[in-house]
Amino acid sequence: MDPIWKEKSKSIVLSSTILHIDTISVAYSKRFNILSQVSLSLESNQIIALIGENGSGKSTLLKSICGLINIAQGEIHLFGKEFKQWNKSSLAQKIAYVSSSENVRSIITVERFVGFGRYPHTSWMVNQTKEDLDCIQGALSSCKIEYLREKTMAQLSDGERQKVYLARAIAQNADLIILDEPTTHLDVKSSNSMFQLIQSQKESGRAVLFSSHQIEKALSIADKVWVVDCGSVIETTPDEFYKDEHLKKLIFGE
Amino acid sequence: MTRWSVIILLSISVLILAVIDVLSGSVSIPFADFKLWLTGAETSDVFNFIVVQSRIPKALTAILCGAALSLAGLLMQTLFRNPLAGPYLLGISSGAGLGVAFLVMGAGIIGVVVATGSAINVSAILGALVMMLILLVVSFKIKDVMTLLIFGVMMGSIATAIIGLIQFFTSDFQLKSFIIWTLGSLSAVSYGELLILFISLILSAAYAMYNYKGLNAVLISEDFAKMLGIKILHVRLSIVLITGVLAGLTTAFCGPIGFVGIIIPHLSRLLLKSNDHLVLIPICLLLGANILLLSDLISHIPTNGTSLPINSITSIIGIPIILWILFGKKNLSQSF
Repeated sequence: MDPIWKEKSKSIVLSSTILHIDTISVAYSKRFNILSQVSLSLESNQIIALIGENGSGKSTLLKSICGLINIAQGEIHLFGKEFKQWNKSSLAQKIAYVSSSENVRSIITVERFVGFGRYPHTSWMVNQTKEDLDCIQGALSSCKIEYLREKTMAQLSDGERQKVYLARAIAQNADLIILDEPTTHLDVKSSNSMFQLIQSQKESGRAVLFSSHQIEKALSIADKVWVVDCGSVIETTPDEFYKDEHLKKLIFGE
Repeated sequence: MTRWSVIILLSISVLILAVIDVLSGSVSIPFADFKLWLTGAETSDVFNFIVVQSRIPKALTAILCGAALSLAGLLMQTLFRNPLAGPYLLGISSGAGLGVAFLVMGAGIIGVVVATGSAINVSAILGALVMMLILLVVSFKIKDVMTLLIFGVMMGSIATAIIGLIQFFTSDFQLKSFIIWTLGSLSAVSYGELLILFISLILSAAYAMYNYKGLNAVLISEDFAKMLGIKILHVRLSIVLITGVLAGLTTAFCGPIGFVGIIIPHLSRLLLKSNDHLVLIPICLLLGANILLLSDLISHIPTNGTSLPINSITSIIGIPIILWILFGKKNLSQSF
């Protein structure tokens, strides 16, 4: 393990609330709320699976946590501070987000793309310090993609690309990683290793919030489950989810 | 080749091309005379007129305009993530053209003839400035950068339409002087104007380099950049401002010069096999200077004292390069 990761896990002594969502509503048009009156919270060192039908508002919830969508009502507190009070580059040191629509196919090399994760930590000209290089190296090796280092993003398969996105988020060394459908387009083997990677983030002291449609696997690694339905979000645990006939019907159908 | 060797090679070739550009033309100047002038010796009036008053400013114009247009083109392609974007995309040059059209032909309609070089430059700068201010205000308001793109293209079309109306009502003589302006020319730019262009270019390039991380991240996507803590509005406004100033000034001094701003960024990316703005910006500046100097050299191949319109030369050089890139193995969208 890289020394920097260890440092991170030591610094967290007690689990604390890192994300607190206070009765938020999100609307794309005035008549229809895609999320209404949602309240949730997330502790450090927790893995949360976000599940729900297509179009139920999973991505919207993740984007509003990241501030990519304006919320109509309510407040979001991150690491004890209201979202608007955050300096955005300091917040970028705390939260890493991988969008589901991310599709990078350019001549940028994998190493340089993962290096984007270091942007919030460096000033303008200081290109890459020893610590940055260590973080990039650590992220590449924890995702087992060191062999891709010199390849360009255009040369990768979908599964490899997805791992590179995660590596970028890991290199950002954030306390909370948000992944929007990290296992779409992946074959069984790749998605299994993706779930393992997500689980291993806990050892490094990070919290992960991810959405997925592979319910069984997602629930097997999650501490808590957020089920999105008709604009509201139900918080439960994997065990209770399987006991709840209503929720099961909601996700798996009749 | 390392990045530094590319930068050094391109700098040397700018110097060599500039010297050839100064020495060649309808009257060729012996290199010995030029060396004498460089050492500060007294030279003849003829030499002074040809070299100091005409050819050196022209070579400097080619260097500065080539660099300025390439930088502006690169920034536009990055902002819109569009390989066909160029410095004139947002209608800055049409704004400048409208300014000139008002001056050259509009004044003619009411019976006054004002067509001196500096009056044309001032009116072009005013036209470009108005267009840029409108674009800056719009950049503040919009959520999606594509709205800005469509708005800019629409504004350019409106300006072109108004120019057409003015052309319809104007006299043949004024129409011709306007058409000549649209062909572009690197000559008759004064040292004062060159200084203005030089200072704007240096400030713009320095600022773009300072923001290279923001530019790299914006090239991936705006949301991606936002989540890395980059201030999108800041990047957007600075790109519109830099492009407005550089495209406005070059259009004002030399007329619209096509293709340089679109191909040079592509050539730079292909040459470097990278889209990192930290190296892309200096390479773009140097390559742009080289290509426009080369175009100027070609434009005075006819030795009967005239030189061909620079705009035609850049297009005639530029189009084969674009076709070569498109039909070669190079995949433009993936080199982006």
